[in-house]
Amino acid sequence: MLNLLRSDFYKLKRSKTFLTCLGILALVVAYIIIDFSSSAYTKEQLSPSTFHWIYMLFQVPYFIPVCQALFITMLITNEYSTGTIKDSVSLGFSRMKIYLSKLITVSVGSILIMIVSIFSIGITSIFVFGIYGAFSMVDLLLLVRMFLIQALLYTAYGSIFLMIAFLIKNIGGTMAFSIFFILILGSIIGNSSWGRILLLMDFSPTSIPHPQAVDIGITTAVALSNLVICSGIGGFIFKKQDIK
Amino acid sequence: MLWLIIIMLILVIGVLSAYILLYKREIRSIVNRLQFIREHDTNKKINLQIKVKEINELAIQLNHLINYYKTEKIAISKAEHKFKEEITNISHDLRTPLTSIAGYVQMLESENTPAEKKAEYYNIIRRRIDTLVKMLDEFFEFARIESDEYVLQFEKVNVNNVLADVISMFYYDFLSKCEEPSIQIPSNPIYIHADKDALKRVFQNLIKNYLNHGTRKISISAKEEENHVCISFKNYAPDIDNTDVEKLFQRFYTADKSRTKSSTGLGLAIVKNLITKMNGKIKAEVEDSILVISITFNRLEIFK
Amino acid sequence: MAEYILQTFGLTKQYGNYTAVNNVNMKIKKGDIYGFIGRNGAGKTTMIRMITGLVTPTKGEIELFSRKGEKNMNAGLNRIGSIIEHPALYPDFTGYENMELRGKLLGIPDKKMIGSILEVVGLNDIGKKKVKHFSLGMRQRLGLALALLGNPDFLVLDEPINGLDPEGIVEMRKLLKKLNEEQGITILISSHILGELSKMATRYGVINNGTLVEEFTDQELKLKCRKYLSLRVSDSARASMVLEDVFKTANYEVMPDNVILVYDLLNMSGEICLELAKNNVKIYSIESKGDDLEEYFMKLMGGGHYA
Repeated sequence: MLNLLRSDFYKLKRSKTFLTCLGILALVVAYIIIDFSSSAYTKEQLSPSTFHWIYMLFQVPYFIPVCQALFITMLITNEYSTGTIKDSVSLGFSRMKIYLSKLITVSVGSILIMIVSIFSIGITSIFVFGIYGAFSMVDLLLLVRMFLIQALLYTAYGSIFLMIAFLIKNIGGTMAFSIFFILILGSIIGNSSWGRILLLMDFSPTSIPHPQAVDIGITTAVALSNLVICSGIGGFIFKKQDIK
Repeated sequence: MLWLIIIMLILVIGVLSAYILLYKREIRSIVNRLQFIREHDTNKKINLQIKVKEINELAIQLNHLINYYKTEKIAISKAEHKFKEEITNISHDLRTPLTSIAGYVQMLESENTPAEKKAEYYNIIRRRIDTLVKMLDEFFEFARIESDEYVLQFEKVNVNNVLADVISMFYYDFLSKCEEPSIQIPSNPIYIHADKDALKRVFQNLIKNYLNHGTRKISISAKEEENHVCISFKNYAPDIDNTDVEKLFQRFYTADKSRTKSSTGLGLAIVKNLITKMNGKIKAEVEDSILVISITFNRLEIFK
Repeated sequence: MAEYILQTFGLTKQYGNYTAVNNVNMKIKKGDIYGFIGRNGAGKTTMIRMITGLVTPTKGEIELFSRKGEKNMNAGLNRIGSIIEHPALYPDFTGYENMELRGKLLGIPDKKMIGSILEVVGLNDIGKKKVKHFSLGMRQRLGLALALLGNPDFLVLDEPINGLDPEGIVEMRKLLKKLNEEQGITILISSHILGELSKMATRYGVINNGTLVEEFTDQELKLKCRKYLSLRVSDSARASMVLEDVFKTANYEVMPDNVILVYDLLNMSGEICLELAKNNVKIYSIESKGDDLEEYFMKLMGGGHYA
């Protein structure tokens, strides 16, 4: 299993899509802040603390999931198109382990995306606005708590994309479906309660320093169940799949 | 703050225990793999799951050892196979003259055989026994030379003299073959560091080989070059092609496939063995139906 | 009792109404080079996919290295190296990086092995070239190198000669024979090219429309395809006597209608005629016959258009 992980991480590291996503996200986020700074009106209005910027990052629903969809789709569908998915299967690794390894890799990738965007926002805001607001240990811990909850959410999101990719094995179909899933479904059902449960839309209730316990509970439950269900379905499908 | 430190400690302990567990698991899997390799005929080697330098080096060394073990196994089984073949060859070689002797003895026992015939048969039997004895002598000689007990005595040897001696030994054989050998030995003496008897034996066997199997003339020459001394034996051999040439020096190999001539096939094998023991080189080539056997030695410097 | 590397029992694969592989009982002995022959679409690749765990059989069992069952199958697959359809390579990596990646997957401790295996397949000088720029022949070689990296006991090769130039074909054949003889690797090769296969295979399996038509060794094949003289004579009893007395051979068959098939003495048809004539046996016709490999295989595969 460790060997599977090692090989999958190597593929992630060398995946141009992944690295491009990281780069673009970092730049886009930085640009937004710089853009903010130039608009004097918003500067007056908001004057947020450094941490506040980071919280804001996670209130915007589409950035990170789109990047996730991109790199996960490319990673998995490439394996099907080049035929390299045959490698690990024909060497005798159990299908569940292969799926699990891909899941872990993809989750780590998603978390890396989060970390990179946090860093980018943090550093840019420090440059542009200077360090604002109180900087206590408690604040840091609250930030970490939010980070953990968001990480769970994005991991769940990643597992959905993973399942889609293993289901529709070609790049065109997978990409189309995934983007449709985020953007179109999201904007239609987005703010309703259905949207929150099924599609994990609207992360904002938890993206504040002191979210309500109810929200934390719901978010964690939804994320975990999504994670488990999608991984289960994806793994099962992969297990029964005839690989051409 | 305290609980923060506690959390950190727990994390550290967790990571360390994970490490230890991984090490243990890896070592267990190496043990399992080694057992598997011993019990099955397989090409698999040690593969690792974790990336630790020391265990990596251990695995590399183990794999080298496994490779060595496998090649040795194959070499042993090949040697066994070859040994069985050689025993078969020896028994075949001995059986032919013995069968013939048995046949003639039967004829002698019969009352119908006239007296002159009997005398002839006695002669034939005697000759066959001679052949057998010679063959056995060759076998024993060969075994002796191949063994570690045969020690060469090196001295300064005059190649020209030894060669000339041996050639003259076979004077009558050349006469009866009606072929005069062409000999090119320089007038200044050529010296090498060798065993005189062994060298003699080498030349004897080569000439015997020609007398038994070669046709037309043989050309023997000795030459001194910059660093080497080269002695070559050339004769016309239309039946040998380049693939056979490689086998000439193998034990029991004779170009005569039915083994009817009384040749054991050991002569050239002995030659090669002795030359190698004397730190020389021997090579056989066929070009335009001419078989060329060339022996090279390092020159012995004579300091005046 | 010879050891079987692979044995299948009633192996079947159905896709809806279409049966790709029908009740195949294949046997591959340890040390064999097994030539797997069949038309396109006959079921070769499906069989190979089932053997390597890519496709689940609808019915039947696979016994790998004398063990059945899923867990044992996975353990057995670990000892197999394969190329299925096309070598599966990462196009944006160089040849060496592809090998490195496979090395990570397998857990190979010694990186130097990569270099030595690349040399063995004839890919020593590929430097920084990305696989997407590789020629077909180079891809096949790299595929073989990847399969060999795991020190396999069983190589499963799906059309490995595909796309190689004549020199490459000879080199591949020599390499496979060497691997088979020196390292005792059992090899399963599926191919269209009968000529090449016949030069190295020790056992053959012919599949047609999903059914394994016949399995036979190389010796049996040569026996079935041997050349013979077919003579139509006036007196076959006399003729047999001549064959035995004068030519000292018993290697012939007497057929009805005074036809004799002689498996020996193939280039002595003239002498045979003379001797028969001397003994008052008339010869009505004499011909040299015998299937060559292609004809034999075509017969097995039911003739018709060979795809």
